[in-house]
This record gives sequence, structure tokens and C-alpha cells, in this order.
Amino acid sequence: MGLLLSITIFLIMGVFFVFIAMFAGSFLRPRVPHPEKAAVYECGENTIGSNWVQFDLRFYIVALVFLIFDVEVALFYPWAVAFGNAVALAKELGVDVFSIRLVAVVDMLFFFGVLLVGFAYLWRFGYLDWVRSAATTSLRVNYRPGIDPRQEARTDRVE
Amino acid sequence: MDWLSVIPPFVYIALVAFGVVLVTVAYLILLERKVASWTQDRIGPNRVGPWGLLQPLADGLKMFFKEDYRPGGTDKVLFTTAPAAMMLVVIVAMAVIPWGGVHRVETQISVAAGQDVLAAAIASIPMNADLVGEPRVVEAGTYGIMYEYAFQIADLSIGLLFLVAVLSLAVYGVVVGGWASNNKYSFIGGLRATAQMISYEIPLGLCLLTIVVMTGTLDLGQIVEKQAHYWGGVIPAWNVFAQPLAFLMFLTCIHAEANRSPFDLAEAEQELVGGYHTEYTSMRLGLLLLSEYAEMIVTSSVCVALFFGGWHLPGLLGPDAQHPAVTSSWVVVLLRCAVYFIKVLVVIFVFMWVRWSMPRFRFDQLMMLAWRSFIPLSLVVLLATAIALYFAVAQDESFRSLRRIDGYTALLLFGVNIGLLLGAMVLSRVLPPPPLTNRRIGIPGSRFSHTPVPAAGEVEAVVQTKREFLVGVSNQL
Repeated sequence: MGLLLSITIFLIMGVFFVFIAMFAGSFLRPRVPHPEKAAVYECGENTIGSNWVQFDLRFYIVALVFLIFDVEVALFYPWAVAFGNAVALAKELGVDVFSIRLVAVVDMLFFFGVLLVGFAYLWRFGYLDWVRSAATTSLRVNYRPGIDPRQEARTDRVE
Repeated sequence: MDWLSVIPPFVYIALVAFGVVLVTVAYLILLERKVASWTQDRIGPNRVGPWGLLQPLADGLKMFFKEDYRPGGTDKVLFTTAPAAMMLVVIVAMAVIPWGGVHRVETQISVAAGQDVLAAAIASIPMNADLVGEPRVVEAGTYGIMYEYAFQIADLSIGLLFLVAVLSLAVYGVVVGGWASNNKYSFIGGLRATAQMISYEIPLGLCLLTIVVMTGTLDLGQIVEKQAHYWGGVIPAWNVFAQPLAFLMFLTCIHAEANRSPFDLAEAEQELVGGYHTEYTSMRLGLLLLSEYAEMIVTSSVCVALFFGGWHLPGLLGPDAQHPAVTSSWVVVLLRCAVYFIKVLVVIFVFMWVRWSMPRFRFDQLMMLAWRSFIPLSLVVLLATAIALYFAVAQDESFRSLRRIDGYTALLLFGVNIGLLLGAMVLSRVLPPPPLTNRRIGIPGSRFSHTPVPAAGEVEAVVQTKREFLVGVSNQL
């Protein structure tokens, strides 16, 4: 209750500050509307088309992968607290510290293993690369890392 | 005087911390410019006031008196909400920073005969404080009581989780601001910032977890208290010595989280003008810029609390060896706040130093650093820490009961960290590099091409070669 109150008071102070900063000056500012000012800034060029452009699908993939990993990190928090607290926990339960920690480590390793499979998949098929190489997208392509399969085609030769 | 004592101490702390942080944010901008000029061998701002000390005031007034207009087609509500939300999020995150340990106060209360002494004592102490020990009789009707309270705004037991949760909301400010601006630059800047911030949040969380695994608590005050002793009587038991690799990754991640150079792709001036704040003017722009500096303060404070022992410095320990955070002296509490703040400023100086020394990353390099390097490495560090701790439960009973990390464990963890760092370096050499993505296709006639300028009749042959190359690539898929 008290903690909630203290955070709320701090939040109110923050809201107050933001409000003052944004709106107190509105009495002092000039206000000279002009159609040029309402134009979208594009380095002086006229805007073409909508400004809400279609964005790259890669951002979406990043968000998707992030979601999985963030859930994983969230699951790690209680585990980490229990693991770090094993000494006190052992005393409370009357068991050995090592047995608690062993169970915890094995548990985590299992979880970790499942995750690593997914991570390896993402890595192999190039989802972790921002600029995806054509060589990673299919298993049919002979994947030779570090060697451009078309080395000889990289520069034009004019005989 | 009586009504003053009714106000709980966290209100004063909140007021002071709020004021100090806001003034510091303003002066950080001056410091940034001074550091920039020092790095670039210039003098820097020195016109407004002595040594330019009134520069923040002038900047603030300028922001305040600028015309505040919105371009057409913006989303009215979201355009204003974004800077407010961004600033607010950072301010709220400051609530759990443990500035000065625990303050213990001894007072006397007078209790009427027949009244319950314990209930009276609990009623008399301020909110969020804990009664320590039993009330003892001084004279008839008067009892001496002791209470203690954490010298921070909110002594949350899940402080670290709160911080991570609140700081990850800062992404919304960026993406909403970029979207609401109705500008292509802003939109792309917002997207980039989002991708960057969420990518670096995972290694950041994992680095925090290595510390949680070591200390077994999410309470920032307790994490600091557990570092307030010495290994072998000399080395301060700061986590940075036990987890140097985790610290380095954490430092890099908070650079990316705060959108600071070399990770300031969201506002890369050369390509995106101002990124997500291209269309902002006046105080709304001011809030966006201030929130970047405020976020630097918050993340540096977390860094100091987790890795540099918070307020801990020789001479500032409390009298009780079991609970070194507890002190009854006002002077010590204030000195601790000062020490904490100076440590934060040192970390912030590193931020600025890096900004003016390092070139900006390319976006694919940035993503590669997060996904292909930091996430696997931080996962392995977390796992190695857990396994090392399994084998190194402190033998000393006093360390065990306090759940501290003893010197041998720290040495083991340090060795594990260094081993992992060397292992990662060797592995990055041994493992095949990522496939080449930037194919260079020679452009005849370009000064960057190896190809000589074709003669008049040879252009057709060059085009034919290129066509063959493209057909070859498409056949492969």
C-alpha cells in the first residue's frame, strides 16, 4: 500500500512536470500558422504518396523472434531468484543445497536445449541476418560459408 | 513542526531526487557538448555565463519560446502522447534506484498508561518504515523505539523486474512518435529504433539475470548491500570483478537501449534527418531530447547498482557487519548519495566518450551484434555462472548465511568469464564467417570498379556477362 502510494506520488510528479513543460509555454509562444509549416518535411521535395509506407517484413520477423526470447527471459527470472536463494531455501526445507541447485541446473539445461534448437534453426536459415544471403534460404543450395558461390561472376571481365 | 513529521521520508526523497535528476539532465547536455569539444580539440560553449554554465538555461528558454506547430496529417493525440510517455517512463523508472542504503532512526514516544505500546510504536513511525527491535522503557510513559527505512523512493522487492518492465515501455514512445508524425523519415526511424531496442533487450535481460543468479534477489537495495564487503580484505566485492564479460555486454546494451551513438541509427542524420523526431518542434522536441539523457541517468544508475556496488566505498559501511547498508548517521546517508551520483556520472562520461570516439554502426552490423553475438554469448555466460555457482557454494558459514559471494567463487566466476571471452574469440576465428551479402558487381566506367572502361563496341558484351550472372543466381534458388 505504502509502496504503491510512493510510486504513485512520483508518477504524479512526473505527469505534473511533463504537463508544465508542454503546456505552460503555450501562453508565451508565438503562433503564426502558415501552409508551408503544415507541409510534411521531406528535404524540400513535395511528398509523393502516403507517408505510412509499407515497411520491410524483416522488422516483423525481428519482433516475432524477440517475442519468443523475451518470454524465455521472463521465465528465467523466477528461476534465477530461486537458484540464487538455494542456500536459504535448503535451510528452510532441510535438504542439501547441492540437490536443489542440481535440479535447478538440469531444469534450466532442458529449457535451454529446446531453445537452442530453435536458435540453431534461425541461424542456419538466415533469419538472424539482416541482409539475407540467397545461399541460406534453401537446403538445396550448396551452402559454402564465406565463399561466394559466384566468385568468378563478381567482377565483369571484358576481354 | 508536527505536521512535517507526518510526511513520510519518501516524499522528501522523491522531491530531491526529482529536482536533482532534472537539473542534472539539463547540465548533461552542456557536459556532452563540453566532452565533444574536448574530444575534438575545441573550446565548446563558453558564451552564456562563466564557462557556459548558463547554457542549459538558454537552451531551455529557447525550447520554451519556440512556436509549437504540428504538420498536417499527424495523429493529434499520439503526436503529443509520445514525448510525454517517453519522459514519464524514464522518470518512473527512477523510483527504485537505491540512493543511500538504509537509514535507522531512534526516537522516543510517549504512551499513555493502559495503551498497547507496540501498536502505538507502529502508529508513530512513518509510512514504509519498519520497526526494529522492541520498544524499551526510558521512563514511565516514555519508550525509545528504533525504525529504519530504505533511502529510496520505493523499496520494491521486485525492483529489477519493475525497471526492466518500465524501461521496455520506452519503445512505445519511439514507435508511436515515429508513426504519428506522418513523415517517411520519422516512420523509418521509429521502426529502426524499435527493432534495435527490442533486439538489445534480450541480452540486457540475460546480463541482469547473471547478477540475479549470483545474489538471488531482485531487490536493488539488497543487491547493492551484498556487494558492500571486501574479498580478501582488500578488493571491494563489486560484481564487475566477478562478471566482467556480463558487464561489458550490459554496457553495450544500455548504449543501444538509450539510442546513443554508435547505436543511434534511429536518428542517423545523414540518412533520416532526425529519425523519429524529425517533425517535432518546441518543448515536445525538448522532452524527446531530455528523455534520452534521463534514460542515460537511469541506465547508468542500474549499471552502478548492479556492477559497481552502488553507494559502497570504504568508510561508508554501517556499524553492523551483517547489514552494512544500515546506518544511523545522516552524514553517511548523504555521502552515500553523493558517491552513488559520482559513480553514475563516471558511467555517463563513458557514454559521451564513446559517442564522440566511435563511428556509427551499419544496420546489419547492429543486428548481427545483437542476434549472432550477444544473445548466444549472454546465454552461455548465464549458464556458466549457474554451473559455476553449483560447484562453489560458499564454505564459510557467515558468507552462506548472508548469501554473499565469497572470494573463491568470485575468482572462479572471473576465470569462467575470461575463459568464455577467449573461447568466443577463438570460436569466431574457427567458425566459418557469415556468407557474403554485399556482392560487388563491377560497374564499367565507375571509378570504384576494377573493370576498365569498355571500348565502344564492347558494352554489349558487359551487359551479356551481367545477364549470365543474374540467370546463374536465379537458377541456384
